[in-house]
Amino acid sequence: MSTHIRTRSHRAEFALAIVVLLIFAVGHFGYQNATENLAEGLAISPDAESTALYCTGFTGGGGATPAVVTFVDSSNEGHDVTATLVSSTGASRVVTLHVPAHGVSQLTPSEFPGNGYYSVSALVHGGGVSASSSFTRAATSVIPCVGQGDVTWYSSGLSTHVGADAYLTMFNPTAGDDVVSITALSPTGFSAPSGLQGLVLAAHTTTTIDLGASVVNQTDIMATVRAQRGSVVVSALQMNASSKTSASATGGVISPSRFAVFPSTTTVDGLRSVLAIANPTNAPAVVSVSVVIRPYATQRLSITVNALSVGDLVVSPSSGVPAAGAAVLRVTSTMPIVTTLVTQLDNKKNQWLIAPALPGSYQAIVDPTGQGFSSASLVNTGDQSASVVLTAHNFTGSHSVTLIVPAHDSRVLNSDTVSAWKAGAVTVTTDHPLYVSAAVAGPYLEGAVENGLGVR
Amino acid sequence: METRAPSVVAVVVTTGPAPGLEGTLSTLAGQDYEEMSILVVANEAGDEIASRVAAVTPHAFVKVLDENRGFAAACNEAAVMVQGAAFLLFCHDDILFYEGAVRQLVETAFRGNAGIVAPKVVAYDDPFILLHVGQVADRFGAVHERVELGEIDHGQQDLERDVFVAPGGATLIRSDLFATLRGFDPLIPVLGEDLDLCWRAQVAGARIMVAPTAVVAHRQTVASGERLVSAAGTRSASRRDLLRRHQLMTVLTCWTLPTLLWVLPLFVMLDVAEVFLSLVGRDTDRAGAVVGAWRWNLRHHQHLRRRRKELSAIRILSDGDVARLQVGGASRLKTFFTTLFQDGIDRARGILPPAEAPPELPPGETVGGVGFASAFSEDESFDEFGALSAVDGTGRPQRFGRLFTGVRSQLSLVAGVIVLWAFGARNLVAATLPNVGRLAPLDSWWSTWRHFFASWSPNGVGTGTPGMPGYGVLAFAGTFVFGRMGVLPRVALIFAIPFGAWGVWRLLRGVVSNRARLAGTIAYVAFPVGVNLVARGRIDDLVVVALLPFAARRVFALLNIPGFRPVPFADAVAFGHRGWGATRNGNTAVLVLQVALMTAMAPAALVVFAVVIIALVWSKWLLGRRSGALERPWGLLGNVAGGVALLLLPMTFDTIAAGRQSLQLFGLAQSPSSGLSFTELARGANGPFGTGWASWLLPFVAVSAVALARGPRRDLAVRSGAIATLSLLVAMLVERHWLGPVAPDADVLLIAVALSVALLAASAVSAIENDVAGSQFGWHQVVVVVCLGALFLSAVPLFAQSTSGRFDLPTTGTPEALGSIAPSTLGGYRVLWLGNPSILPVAGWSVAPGLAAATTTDTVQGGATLFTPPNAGAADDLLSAVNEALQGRTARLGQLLAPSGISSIVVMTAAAPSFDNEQTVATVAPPSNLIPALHRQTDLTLVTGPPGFEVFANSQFHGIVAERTSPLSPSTTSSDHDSVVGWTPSLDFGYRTGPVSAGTTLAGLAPSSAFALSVNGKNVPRSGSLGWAATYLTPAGDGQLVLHQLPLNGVLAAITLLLWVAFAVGFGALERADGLLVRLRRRRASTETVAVVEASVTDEVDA
Repeated sequence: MSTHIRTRSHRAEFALAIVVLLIFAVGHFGYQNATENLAEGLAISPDAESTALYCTGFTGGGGATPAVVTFVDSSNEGHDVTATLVSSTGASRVVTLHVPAHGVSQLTPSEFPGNGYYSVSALVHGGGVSASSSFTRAATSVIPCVGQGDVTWYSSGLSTHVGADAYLTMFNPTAGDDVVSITALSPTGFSAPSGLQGLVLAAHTTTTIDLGASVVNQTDIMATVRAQRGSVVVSALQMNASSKTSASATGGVISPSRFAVFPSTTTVDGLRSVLAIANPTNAPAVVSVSVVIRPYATQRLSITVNALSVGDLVVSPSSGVPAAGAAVLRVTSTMPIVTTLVTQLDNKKNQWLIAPALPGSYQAIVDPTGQGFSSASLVNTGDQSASVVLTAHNFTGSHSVTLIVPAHDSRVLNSDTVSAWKAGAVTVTTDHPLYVSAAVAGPYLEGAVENGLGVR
Repeated sequence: METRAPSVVAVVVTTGPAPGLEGTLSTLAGQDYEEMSILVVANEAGDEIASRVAAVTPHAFVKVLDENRGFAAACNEAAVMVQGAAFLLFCHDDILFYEGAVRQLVETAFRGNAGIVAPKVVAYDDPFILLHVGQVADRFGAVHERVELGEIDHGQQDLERDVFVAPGGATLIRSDLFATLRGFDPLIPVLGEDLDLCWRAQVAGARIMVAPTAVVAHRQTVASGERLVSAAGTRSASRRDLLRRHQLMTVLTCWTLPTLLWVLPLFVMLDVAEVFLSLVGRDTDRAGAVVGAWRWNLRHHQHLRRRRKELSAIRILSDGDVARLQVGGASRLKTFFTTLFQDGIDRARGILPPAEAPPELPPGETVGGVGFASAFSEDESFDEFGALSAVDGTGRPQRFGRLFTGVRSQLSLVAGVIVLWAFGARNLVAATLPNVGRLAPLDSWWSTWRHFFASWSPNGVGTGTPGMPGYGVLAFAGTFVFGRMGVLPRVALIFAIPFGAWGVWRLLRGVVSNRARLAGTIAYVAFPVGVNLVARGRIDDLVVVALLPFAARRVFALLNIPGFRPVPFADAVAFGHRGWGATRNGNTAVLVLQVALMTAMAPAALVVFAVVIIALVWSKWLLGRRSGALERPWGLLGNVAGGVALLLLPMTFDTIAAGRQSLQLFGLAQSPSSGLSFTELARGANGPFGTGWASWLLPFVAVSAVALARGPRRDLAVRSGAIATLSLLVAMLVERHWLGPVAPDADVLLIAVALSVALLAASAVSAIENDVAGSQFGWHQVVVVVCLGALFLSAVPLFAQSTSGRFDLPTTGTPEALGSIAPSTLGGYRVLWLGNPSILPVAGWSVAPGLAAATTTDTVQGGATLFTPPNAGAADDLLSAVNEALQGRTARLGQLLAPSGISSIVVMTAAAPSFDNEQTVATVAPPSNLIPALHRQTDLTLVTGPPGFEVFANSQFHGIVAERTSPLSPSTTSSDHDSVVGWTPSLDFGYRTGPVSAGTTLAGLAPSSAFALSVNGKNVPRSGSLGWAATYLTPAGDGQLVLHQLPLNGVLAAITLLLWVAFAVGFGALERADGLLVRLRRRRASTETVAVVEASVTDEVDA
C-alpha cells in the first residue's frame, strides 16, 4: 500500500510576498530617487511668451552712478522690449527698444532723466533676452538683471565708516505692495534698526535706503533684506563720500551657502582682494579658501568666523598667493555664509563688490564699456569634463571657440583670446554647468569682474 | 327535570373541507352541559356538510352561506338567527373540547361576572403544550401571548384571571353584550377579530376572563398555513396584511381622540422604523403590509368614523382604565430588541429561518475542543459571558479565551462600535459643513436636475458638453429627502462607512464565521481610508466606500468563487419578468447598476472594478487548478463596462469627445514630490488619520492571514491579497507619476485596499479558528498571538478619531475664508483654483503632475462645478497660460487670464486653512515652482489670504463680460497687449443684463456660439475672438446675453434616464405594477361586497 503525502503548494504566498516586496522596494527607493517631473522654470526660455527683467541701483546721466543697461538676445529672432524706467522720486518713463537676434541693445544714461536712483522693469515680448547694468563712470561694476524678485537678499562687505556711504536700492516688481524688513550684521553684532522694519514698497516703485543712517560707522556690514510680503529686487551701492565717482555695486545673493566660487580674482600688485565673510548662523563657521593660479601651487587659506559675526580674509596681497593675475577662488564653509569679494586699489579710491558666480549651461558675458575683456575664467566643479563653445556676437566677424574644461578644474582665457571681444556679447554654451566670469578691461588692472548671465 | 342553567348556543363556523369538523362536533356533543344547542354555520360549503353534521350531531342546526364571508360575518349571521340564548359560544371547526369545558366556561362567566370567557387552549397533537391562556395587548394593538412558545402545561396557568384578549377559536360571550357591540366587525372577517371584539367589550365595561379549567385543543389550521384565508375581501391579502390592517383599525376605533393624538404619532414612528428595517432587510412583504394597512384604513375612513361613533355611544371605561388592562410600552419594539439580542440582526429583521439544531457529536467529543485552539471555536452558541461567570475551583474564570463567540457578545461589540461611531459623528449631524473636498453647498433639487439636463455648464470658461451623470444621481437621491439637498452630504459623511461595513458583513455571509465577519466589518471601519475621506469631505468617494462591498459580493458570485454563491442562479427568466433579478443576467444587471452609481460619483470606481477582476484572474493563477475556474471574468468585465457606458451615456460622450484628455475622467496626474508614499498607501494614510504606528496593525493582520490560512480560508486570503496588491501597485504607480496621464484616483483605489484588508482580517480570524487549531506549537501560535493583539489594538485609533465629533473634518473651509475676494463689479468674475488634485474644492483639470486647475464662476462656492467633464475645451487656453507661468515662460499671466474673467488666483497648499488651536490641516504643497512663478508675474498682486493659501489678484481683470469703444481685431491673441487695453466690465453680475455702450462687447463665455447678445431686443452680430470668446459690435442700449443652444444635452440626459427605467423594467417592474393593479381591482370588488354585507348585518342587528 502506498502512502500519499500531500504537500501544500506555497506558490501563492511566495508570489504575493515577492510582488509585495518588489512594490515596497521600488516604491520606497523610487520615492527617494524620484525627480520632480516638472520643468524647473527656465529663467529666460527662448520660446517664452513673455519674460521680465529687473535692474536697480543706478542714476541718470547727471547722477553719481550712471549706468547703461545692456540687453542681449541669444535667440534666433529679435524681440521687442518695453522698458519702464522708475525713479525713486516717483518719476517713470517707458522706453521701447528692439534687440536684434544674437545682438545687443542698450539703454544709455541719457534716457534716465531726473534725479534719484532708477530701476528698470523690462517686459520682453518673447524669451531669450538677458540683461545687465554697468556703471559707466570711474570704476566699472556690473550687476546682472534678474528675472524675478526675491524674498530674501544678502550682501556682505558694505561699509558706513566715516568717509563712506552704503545704499540699498529696492524695486518692487509685483503688482501689489511689498513689505520688507532690513537687518544688518556688523563687527558689533546683529541689529534690526526700527526704522527699517516693515517698510512698505508700493507696486512697481523704487526705494533707496541709506544704510549709514541706521548702522552708523561700521565696516564689513552684511545687510539682509526680507520681504514679508511680495518680492523685491535689491542692489547694494558702496560709495566713498569724498568722491561720488568712486562707487561700486553688487547684486548680492539670495541665500547663504556653504560653497562659493569666484572665477576671476585679481592678484596683481596695486590691488587688494579681500573676502568679506558674514556668518548669519548661530554656530561658528570654519571657512576654507583654495586659490588656484596656474601654474603655481598655493596654500589653502582659512578663517573661523564666529556665530552672528563677520570676518575678512585677505587673498591678495598675501605671502602664499603669487601676484600673477586672475585666480580662481573656491570657498567652502562648515556653515552657510555670505561672501563678497571686495577688490580695491591700494589708495581705496576705487573698489568693486563682486558677488559669487552662479553655475549655468547657457550664459553670456557682455562688454559694458566697449573696451573688451582682459581675461575670462571657466570653472568646472563637476565630476565630468565639460565641452564649451564660446560664440561672440555683434563683433566684426564672428568668433567661435571650442574648448574642454576638465572635471574639478578651471580654464583661464588670457587677453590674447578675449581681447578681440569688444562691444558685444559672448555666449557660453556647455554640456555641463560651469562658473563663468570675465575681467573687464580698463585702467584699473582687472578690478572689475562680470559674472556670466543666465540666458536660458 | 327543569334546569336553571343559562342556555348556550355553540356556533361552529366551518369553511371549506373542514377536516376537523367531526371532531369539534363530537366533542361538543359529548359535553355535560345540557342547555346547549349547536348551530353550524357553513361558509361556502357544499351540500355534503349537512350530512356530515347529521352524522355526528343529528340535532344540530345547519346554516349554509352562499359565500365565504369569513368567521366574523358567519358569527354575526348566527347571532341574528339565535333568539333567547344567554351565551354564545363561537367556535372554529378545528377545536376539540375537553370534558366539561363548556360548563367551566359558563361557571367562570357567572363567578366573575365576565362578558367574555376564554378557555385554556392546548396543542391539538400534544395536550401538554400550551397555546393560549388568554392574551394581552399594548396600546398599539400588538397582541402578546401570556405563555411562552412551546410552554409545557404544569398547571402553572390554572388560575382564573382577567385578560385583555380572548383568543379566537372558542370564545364564550354573553349574547346581550354581543348585541350591544353589534357583533364582530364585518370588515374584519378573520385574524384580528378577537382583539377588536374584546377591546370594544372592555370599553363597554365588560370583563374578559380566562377559565383555565376549561380546556380545548386547537388545530390552528389557518395560523399554521394548513388552510388558506379565503374569505371575501381577503383574497389578495396575506395573513400579515390582514393582521396589520385590522390591528390599525382597532387602534383607530377604540381610543378616544385625545389619546389618539399622541398614540398615533408613536404608531407612525414605529411603522416607519419597521418599514425602514424591512426595506434594509429586503423584506418588502412586511413593508408592504405596514404601508398597506394605512392605505386600507384610509380607504375605509367612513366605516371607521361610524365605528367610533357607535363605540362612543356605549363607552363606559375611560382610556386610562382600558390602558391599565393593557401591557405598557410597545410590544413590537420589545420583541424586536429581544430578538436582536437573542438571535441577531437578521432574525430581528425576520429574514433568516430559525437556526438549525447543532449536529450531534460523537460520544466524548465536546463542541469547543480543548487547548489553545478551543479558544477560537466556531461554536457561536457558546456564550463567553456565561463562561466568564463560571469559575473553577481556583476562582479563575474558565475558558477565558473564547471571546466573541456568543451572539450576545457579538451584538454587544457591534453596539459598542455603533455607539462609538455615533459619538464620533455627533457634530456632523447638525453643525455647519465646511466647503472642503466635495462639500460645496449643493444647488437646489431642481437646479441639480437642471445641471444634469443642461446644455451649458460653467466649468472652466464654460462648456457645452453633456452634463455629468453625478448630478442626476444627486438629484435622484435628493428626491428621497424631499429636495433638502443639504441632507445628502451629511448622510454620506455619517452613514457611508457603516453602510459599507454592513456590506462587508453581507459579503462574508456563509463564507466565514460570524466572529470572523465581525472582525472584517470592524476592520473596514478601522482602516483609515474611509475616515480620512470623511475628514477630507470626499462624499464622491464615500459613495464607493458604501457600495463597493456590495458590488464585490456580486462579482464574487458571478465569477462563481466558492462560498459566494450559496444558491445557484435561477433558471432563465425573460427580461422584464419577475424573477429575472435572480438569474445570472439579472445579477449582472444589478452589478452594472451598482458600478454605474459609483462611477457616476467617482469615475475611478470603474478602474477599481477592472482591478478587482484582473486581481481575481491573477489569484486564479496563484492558487492553481484546485481553486476552480472563474466564470467568464473578461466577459463580465466587458459586460459591466459596456453597461456602465450605456447607463452613463453623457459621461461616455464626454469621454469620447475628450480625446487625449479622456483619461482625466478617472483622475488627475500626481507629482512624485507630493503624492502619497508607499508606506502611506499601505496604511491607508490618505488623510489626517493613519500616520501613527497603530496604522501598521491591520496591514500586519492582513499579511498574517495569508501566512496562516489553509483550505478555503487560504483561497479567500490569496484573492483578497491579490486585490490589495494590485490596487496598491496601481496606486503607487499613479502617485509616482510612472503611468503618465493614466492616473486613476488613488483614494478610490485605496478603498479597494480597505475592502481587501477587511477580507484578510476576516480570513485571519477564520484561519485561527480552523487552521491553527490542530497544529502543534510553533510559529503559527506566535503569529496568532501577535495577530490577535494587533486586531484588538487596531480598533483603538477609532477612539482617537472620534474625539472631535466630526472625524477632524475642518470647521472652516477655503471658500468661507476667502469670502472677501469677490469683486463687486459688473460683468461677473471667475476664481482660478490651483493646487494638488486631492485638495481642490472643485473638480478641475490637470495642468502638470501634482497641479490641477479649476474655476468657479461668480462665486467662490463650487456647487455648480462638482463634476467636470474630462475635456477642458476652451479652458485649455487657461491651463496653457498657467503652464506657461509655471515654466517661467510668461511674466504676464494676468493678461493671459483676463479674457476668461479671472479676478483672483487661489493657490491651495492645504485643503482648508489652518488656525492656531482651532484646526490643523496637513499641507499638500503644489509644485515648488508654482508660487515663485506667480510671484514673477508683473500683473498679479499677492493679497492677504488665510494661512495655507496664497491669493493673487489679477490687476488686468475686467470682468467676464466687458466693453470698450475700439474694436478688437480678429487676429488679436491674448498675448497681445491690446487684448487687455480699455475694457470696462459690462452687464449685470450673474444675470448678464444691463446697459451697453456703443462699441465692442467681449464675452468670456465658451463656446462662443452658444450665446447671443441682444441690444434693445435685437441680436447683434457676433464674431469669434481670442480663439474661444465672442465679441459683439453693439449700439448703445439695453443688452442681454442669453444662452442660445439646442437642448441636445437634455435629449441625451432623457435617453439616459429612459435607459435606467428600462433596467428597472427588466426586474419585472411592469409585472409588479400590473399585479398591483389587479390586486387593487380585487380589493375594490371585495370592499363593495363587504359593504353590502355590512349593511345587511347592521340592519339585521338593529332589527
